[in-house]
Amino acid sequence: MIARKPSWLLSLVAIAILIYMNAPTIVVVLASFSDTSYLTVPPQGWTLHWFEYVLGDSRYMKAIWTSLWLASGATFLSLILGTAASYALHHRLVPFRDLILSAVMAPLVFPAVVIGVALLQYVSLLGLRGQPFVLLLAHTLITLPYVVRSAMSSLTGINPQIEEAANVLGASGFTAFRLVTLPLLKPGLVAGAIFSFVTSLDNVPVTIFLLTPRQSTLPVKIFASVEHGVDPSIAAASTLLVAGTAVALVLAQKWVSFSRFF
Amino acid sequence: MTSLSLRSLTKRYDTATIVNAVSLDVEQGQLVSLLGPSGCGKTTILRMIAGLLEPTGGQILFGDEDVTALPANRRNVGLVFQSYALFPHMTVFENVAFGLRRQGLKGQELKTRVGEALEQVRLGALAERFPRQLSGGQQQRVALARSVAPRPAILLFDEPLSNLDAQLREEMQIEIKRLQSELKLTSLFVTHDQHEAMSLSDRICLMSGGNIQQFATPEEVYFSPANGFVSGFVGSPTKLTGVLRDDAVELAPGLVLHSSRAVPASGGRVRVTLRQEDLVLAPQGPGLPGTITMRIFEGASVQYIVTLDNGPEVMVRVPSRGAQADLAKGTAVAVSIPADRVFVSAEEGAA
Amino acid sequence: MTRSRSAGVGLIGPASVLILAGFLAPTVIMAMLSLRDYSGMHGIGTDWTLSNYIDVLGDWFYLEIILRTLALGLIVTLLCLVVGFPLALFILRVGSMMQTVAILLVTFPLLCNIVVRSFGWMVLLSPRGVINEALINAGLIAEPLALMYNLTGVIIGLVQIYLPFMVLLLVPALQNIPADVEAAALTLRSSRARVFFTITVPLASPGIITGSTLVFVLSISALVTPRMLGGPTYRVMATQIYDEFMTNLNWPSGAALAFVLTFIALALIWAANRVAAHLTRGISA
Repeated sequence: MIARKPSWLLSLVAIAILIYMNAPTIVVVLASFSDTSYLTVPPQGWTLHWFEYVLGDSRYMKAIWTSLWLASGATFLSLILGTAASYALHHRLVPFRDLILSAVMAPLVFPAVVIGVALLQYVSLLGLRGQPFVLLLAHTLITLPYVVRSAMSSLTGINPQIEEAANVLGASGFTAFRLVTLPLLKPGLVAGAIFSFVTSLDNVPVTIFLLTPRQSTLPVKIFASVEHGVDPSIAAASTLLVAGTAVALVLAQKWVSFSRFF
Repeated sequence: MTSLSLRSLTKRYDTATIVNAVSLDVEQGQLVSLLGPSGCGKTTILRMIAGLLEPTGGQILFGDEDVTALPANRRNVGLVFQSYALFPHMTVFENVAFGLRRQGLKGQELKTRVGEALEQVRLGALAERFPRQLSGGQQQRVALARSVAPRPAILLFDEPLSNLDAQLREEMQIEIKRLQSELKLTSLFVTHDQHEAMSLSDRICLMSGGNIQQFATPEEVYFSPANGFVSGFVGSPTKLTGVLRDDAVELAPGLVLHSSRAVPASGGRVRVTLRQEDLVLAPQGPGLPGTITMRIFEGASVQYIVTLDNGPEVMVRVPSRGAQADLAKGTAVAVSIPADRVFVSAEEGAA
Repeated sequence: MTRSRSAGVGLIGPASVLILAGFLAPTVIMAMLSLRDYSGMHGIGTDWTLSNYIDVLGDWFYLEIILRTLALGLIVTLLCLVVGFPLALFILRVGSMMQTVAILLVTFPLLCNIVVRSFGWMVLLSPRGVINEALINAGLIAEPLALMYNLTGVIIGLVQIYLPFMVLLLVPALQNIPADVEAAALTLRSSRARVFFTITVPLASPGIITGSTLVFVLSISALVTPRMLGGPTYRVMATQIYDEFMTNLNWPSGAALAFVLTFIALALIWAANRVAAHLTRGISA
């Protein structure tokens, strides 16, 4: 593109769009500090009461913990499975490479709700509905493509002779990977891990089909609560999710630049 | 320090034979070039010696030890890559220390050894830099230091100079030659550049189609090419075809060249290879008559394209301070060729 | 070769098992279920039949849902393009400091929870929500506007939710257009508007197609936002699939509808890839 300063009209339109894009999040955060029992924005008075309420509520707390361990566990598993798979696929160590790659990436293009109902049937048939490991594996399934995509693109940027150089200098296959390839993959893996974590934390359309009535994750709990009417405790729970995302983003920025997220 | 021997080394993929039962001995401390056009199997041989590629058959020996089954990390070879393959996340020091650390060196001894290696390539001052902060030539020196630091049994070069510009390439050639002879390292140097091979090597192994065409000193390869492929590859010769009658070749009606070298026994159509610098130009006199159709000034030399009367074009190169340096386009000349400089080979042998 | 192959199988094994057992097997089983007969009396039967697909594609109740979903997807995609283009241009033209801020403000909502953002829209759009209150207080309207539990609300929400994808795909697509090409057109006496529509947009078309396909497929698959902002009576394919499985317990019908949705999504992605490949013939080196 030809470098040119934006006109004031373009700037105005862009700022309006940016406000539109961030308005719902800002409104939720503001509403969570409201001291009325119904939602008001901007709040007439400020309180932390709704956070106390959420953090003191055992059902909310259970949902928060479920969300956190699911997101951490799925990210961890995706990182291990995804890095190993990407390495094998990139170096063409396996037959049917393109077929396997498409299969691994498929959960990304399938409508999430379809994956959800397919898993619901499958898990019901096997009598495993409500098992924590089922949730963990389902989340790993949907986060895996993000790690693989990120790792594959990082691997493409690494000179394949670098690992050979390490081999010739006396490093065995795994040592060469650990000392040379892994450090070069790290920015890509961090970006993939963050996307995994956020995707797992965000997921409703798969998770909601796999939970028993006694189980919940935080987004599913918010989604379900809304059907019974909106109140500031939902805003407070939402604000906790926003805060979590913001912290992850700030931490991530230390490791990788934002361009990694495209 | 040890010698390197290949015994019927072979590499096949499905039906294609890339390296065809190559046997080769590199004496201790010698530098041998594997020279040939791309796809001749030279890089495949190098990768098999390094342990990065499994041979289909044959043996690789370092001294008396058969290393054919050893993985790359247990062979103790040094390899200088075309792309340098430096570790971008490590400093120059850490790059050079990598192989030494794998041998268990640490502390002061490690520092001393890395320092020595960096001094050998005159990069001592840049130890704390990262590869991306170095010029191409400096990166090449780091790659060199990294591969010699662990004192490898065999040092391998995979077209290490092809990414450098002409001037830097000559500097690095001298650098490599100096370091190799100082350390008396048995070395194998893969290249497609005949000048590089000539100037660096104790012996040249000229390859084509997975086979050795000639294994000899640079002088022998130049002056006594073993076959038509070698005579056609070395120098940038004019290649002509003709019909063999006894020991003379008829290029065109009335245009006859005599050769004092061995000629194909079968007779019939043959290929003739003429080196540009072997041809002698004279304004008149004995020789093949022709006309200058182009003059190209090259600095140290002048190149002419001469169209022989009723015949083909030949290229002639003369010193630019010589008597025949100023012949204009259109000048009639006589081209004579010493009989021992006329290389005749069977036409099928043409590559 | 054998050594590296066994290593490769070891590396790819765990991920492959997960995909086979956790994705391909459930999909195949659902495909089989969608071909089983169903009656309210006896539940899921044992005979093979195409009746679930015939019901879904022949019944106006379902057809209307499918058409509504596709129309929704189309509107959301077009709006994302129209709104995303100026923002992408702004990001490319503004100074580096503001650029970082703008990219941050585009990325942050992308990473924020969809449930949270949809909930935010409920707070903004409900009859007693921020927007209606403000308009009433300003005396502009007497009665609250119906901004939610209808198409309007779902569109407002979905555009906001999928706009980041569009912008983040448009920015590199526009950035990769060589400035020389546009400059060349300008020197050939073209107006800036003409350059934009005859040079810039066609050269950015692979990015536009990729972004549009992504937004369309995500929009027609969306469950959370249509349910929260459309309410229980505003039905799209995803919410109907949810209801068939969770409320009506008519799994074969739900499975058939799920496959219709999947087919539309995959066919569109396939077609878009073909078109993008065709368009980049002359563009990519």
